[in-house]
Amino acid sequence: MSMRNVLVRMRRVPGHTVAIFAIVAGGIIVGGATAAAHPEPSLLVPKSAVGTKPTPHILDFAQDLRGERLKLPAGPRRVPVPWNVDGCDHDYGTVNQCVPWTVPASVGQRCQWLAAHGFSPLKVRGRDRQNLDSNHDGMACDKGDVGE
Amino acid sequence: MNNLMKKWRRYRSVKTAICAIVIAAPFVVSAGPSADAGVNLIANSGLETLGSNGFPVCWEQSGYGDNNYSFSVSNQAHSGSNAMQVSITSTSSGDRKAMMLENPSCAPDVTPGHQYNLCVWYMANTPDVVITTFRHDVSAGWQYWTDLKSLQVTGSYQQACVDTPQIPSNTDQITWGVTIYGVGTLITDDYSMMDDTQPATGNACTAGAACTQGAWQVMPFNSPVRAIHAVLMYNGDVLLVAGSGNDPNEFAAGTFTSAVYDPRTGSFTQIPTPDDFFCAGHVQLPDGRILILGGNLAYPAADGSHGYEGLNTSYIFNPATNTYQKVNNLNDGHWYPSATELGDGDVISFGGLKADSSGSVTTEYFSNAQQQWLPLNQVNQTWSFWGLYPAMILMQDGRLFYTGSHVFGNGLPGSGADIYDYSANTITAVSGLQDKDERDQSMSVLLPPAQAQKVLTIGGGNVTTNVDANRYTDLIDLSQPNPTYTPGPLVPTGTLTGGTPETSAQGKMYVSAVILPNGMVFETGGGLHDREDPVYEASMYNPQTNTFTPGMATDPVPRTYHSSAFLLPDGRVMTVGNNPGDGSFDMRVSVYSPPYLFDGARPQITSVASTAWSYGSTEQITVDSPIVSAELIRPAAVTHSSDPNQRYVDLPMTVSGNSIGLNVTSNPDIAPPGWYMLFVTNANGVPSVAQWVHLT
Repeated sequence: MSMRNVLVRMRRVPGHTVAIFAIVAGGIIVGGATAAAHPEPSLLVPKSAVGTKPTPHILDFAQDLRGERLKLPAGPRRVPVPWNVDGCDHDYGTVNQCVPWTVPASVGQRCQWLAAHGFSPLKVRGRDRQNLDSNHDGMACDKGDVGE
Repeated sequence: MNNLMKKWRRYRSVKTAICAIVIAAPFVVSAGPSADAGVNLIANSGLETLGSNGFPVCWEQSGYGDNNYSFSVSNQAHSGSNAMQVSITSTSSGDRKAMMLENPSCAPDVTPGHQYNLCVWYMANTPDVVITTFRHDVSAGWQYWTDLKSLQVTGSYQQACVDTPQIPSNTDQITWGVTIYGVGTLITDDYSMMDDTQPATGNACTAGAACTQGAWQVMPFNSPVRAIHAVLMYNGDVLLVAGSGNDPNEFAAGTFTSAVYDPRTGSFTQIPTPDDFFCAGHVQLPDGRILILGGNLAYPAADGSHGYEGLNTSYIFNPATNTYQKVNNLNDGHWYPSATELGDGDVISFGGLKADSSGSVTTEYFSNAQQQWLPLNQVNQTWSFWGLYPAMILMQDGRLFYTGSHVFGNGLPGSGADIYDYSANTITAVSGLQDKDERDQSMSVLLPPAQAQKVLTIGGGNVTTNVDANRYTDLIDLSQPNPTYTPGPLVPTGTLTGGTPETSAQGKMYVSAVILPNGMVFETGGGLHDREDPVYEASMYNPQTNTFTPGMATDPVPRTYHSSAFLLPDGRVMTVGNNPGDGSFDMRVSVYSPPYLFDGARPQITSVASTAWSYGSTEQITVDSPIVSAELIRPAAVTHSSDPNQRYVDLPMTVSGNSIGLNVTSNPDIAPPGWYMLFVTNANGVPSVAQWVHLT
C-alpha cells in the first residue's frame, strides 16, 4: 500500500488511525528503514511534505464576541464633517494659525489665554464666534476688547 | 561563552540517564548525575507509565476545533517502550496536542524571570507541528502562553529544543507539548525541561540619573522639513515628510517637502516631493518601499464654504533611489487615512476626508501582488465612516481591531472600538473603552510580544471641546473569547510650561508610545490642550506587570501636535515635531537614550546566516555574549500618535553556545512580511544594535 493510499484512507476513516499505525509499527511500512528484529523507529513521510513550510498556526482567539453586530449601510452615503474638524476656529488670525475652537479659559480670560500662548491680536476673518472682538473693530483681543 | 558551551554539551550527554530515572519514578523530580547538570522537570517524561485508561500518567489529550483525530500510545519509541502518537486525518479548524496535565503534581513548577530549555524527540510527516506552552497564572489560572518552535518534517527521530521566554510574573507552573494542526501524524517521546536561566550580572551603570531615567540629547541641527510624518526604512534612514507642512502659504505656493535623515551621520537629503503628502497615510510594503496614500487637496476656506479636502493620489517611495513613484489613484480622496499591512502583504486603509470635505466611507485595498489599488468593486465595503487616522491593528487571525484611538473630535458612535472581519465584512462592537469621545490623539500600541495579542490605548483629549486631556489607559486582551477593554493604570502626571505640576486629573493627548527592544513601552511627549500646553513627562510601561515606571527623563523640547517618536536601530528613540496653534513648527530633533544604554556592554550580533527569513523557520545567528531574548521590531511609520503597524515579535531561541537558532512564527498575521529590526537582549535588559532582516 502506498503512503498516499494510507493517507487517503486515514482521511476517510479516522477511527482506523490506530490500526493503521499498528501496521506501520510492525515494520510493513517503514519508510525505507530496515524491518529487523529491533527496527529503528520511523514514520513514512510523503516526498511532498519534505522541506515544506508550515501553514500559519492560527489560534481560536476572540471567537465568542458578544458585542453588538453593527448594521452596515446598504451603500455609500455622504458623511458631513464640519470645517472645524481640526479644532481650529478659522474665523480668526492668519491662514496658518489655529485659534482653538474652544479656548480653555473662562469668558473674560480668553484673550489673556491666547496672548499667553503666542497669539497676538487676531484679525477676524469670518464671524466673531467667540466674542473676542467686543469693540467690533475687526481685530480680536486688541486694545479695547474685553479681557485684552 | 565557553561555560555556556560546556553546559550545553554536559546537558546533552546526560539526557538519556535523566529520562531513565524519570521513567522509573515518574512522580519524583529527579536530580541529574551532577548538581550542575540540570534537572528534568517533566514527570513521566518518557511516557512509560500508563494509567488505567492506557494513557501516559501526567499527560492529557488536548485540542479543539473541527477535525478528525486520534491519540494513541505507540511502540515507535525513541527510548523505552512507549511514545505518544497524535494523528489528524482531516481538519477545517483547530489543533490537537498531548499536554502535561495541568495539576500541581504533574505540571512543572517554574520561577518568574527564569527561562527553561525544552526538548523533545519527535517524528512528524506534516510541517504543521509546533511546540506550545501554557502557563498557570496565580490569579487567573491556566491559560495559553505561546507557541515556541515549528518542527520540521522528519521520518526518523530528531530532537527539537527551544528555550522559553522569561517566565512572566505571577506564574508558578507551565505545561507544554507538541501541537499538530495539519493532516498527518506526530510521534513524540523523551521530553525534558531544565532551568536554563542566564543570571544577570548586576547593574554596571555609573551614569547617575541616566541609569534609571535615561537621557535626552537635543541634536545640534534642525530638521530641514516640518517632520509631520516619520518612516524608518530598512537602510536605517528616516523619511521625514512635510508636504505643505500644515502651512497654507506653502500649499498656495505649491511647495511640498520631504527629507531623508541618516541617524548615523546626522545628515539630511532633501527629496523632491511631487504632491502634498501633508496628512497622508503611509506604511512599509513587504519589499521595504513606502506606500504613501492620500494627503491634502485643499485647506479650509476662510469663509467656511469647505473644510480640508483629501487627495486621491498615491505614491511609493523607494529607499534605494530616494524617489517617489506614482501608482494608480485611490477610489476616493483621503485626508488622514489609516494604513495597515495585512499578513499577505496587502494594505488596507480606512477613513479620512474625501475631496469634498465629507467623510470617506470607502475602504481602500492595495494588492501587493498587483502593485496597485484595487477598483471599488473588488474591495469589501462597509460603507461606514471610520473617522480620521483610525488605529486599525492586525489581529493574529487577520481581523482588524479598531482601538478607538483616532484624530480629532469624538470617537465613533457606539462603544468607540470594534473588531472588523474583512472576509465576513462584519463589524462587532468592543466594550469597555473609557471616555471614548476624549481619545482624540491618544495612542494605541500592540504590546510586546505580538504573540500575546494585548493592546494598550493611552491618554487622549478632544480638540473640539478642548477639555483637559486625560490620564486613562485601557488594556485589552485579544486572546480572550470576548475581548473587552479594562482600565489600565493612569498615565503618570507631569509638569506644564514653567514647571507647574499637572493636577491629578490632567493627563496628555499627542502622546507617543514606542516599543523598546527590552520589551518595555516608552511613553513620552504630549500636551494638555488642543495644540497647546505641552506636558513634560515620560514613563516606562511594563506589559508584564501592567505598570508605569514614572520619572523617566523628559524631552526638553515640547512635543504636542504633529510630534512623533520612534525607535532607531541603535536602540535610541528619536522625536520630532511640534506645531502649536500660533502656526510655528519646532524643527529641533531630540534623541533619547533609555537606561539600558548605560548598563554595561551591549551584546553584539556577530553574524546572521541569512537575512532572508521565512515563516516557521529557525534562523541562525551568532552572538558575542549570552543573551536571554531575541526579537523582531517593525520599523516605525508614524504620524499623529498613530502607528498601528508597530509591533514586537518574540523569537524563541534554540541556544547552542554562541550560536543561536531563532524560531520564527509560522503566522504572517503575527509578523506581516517586510523588513524588521532584529535585536538580541542580555540578562541585564541591554539590547544589541539591530541587524536588518527581511521576512517573507
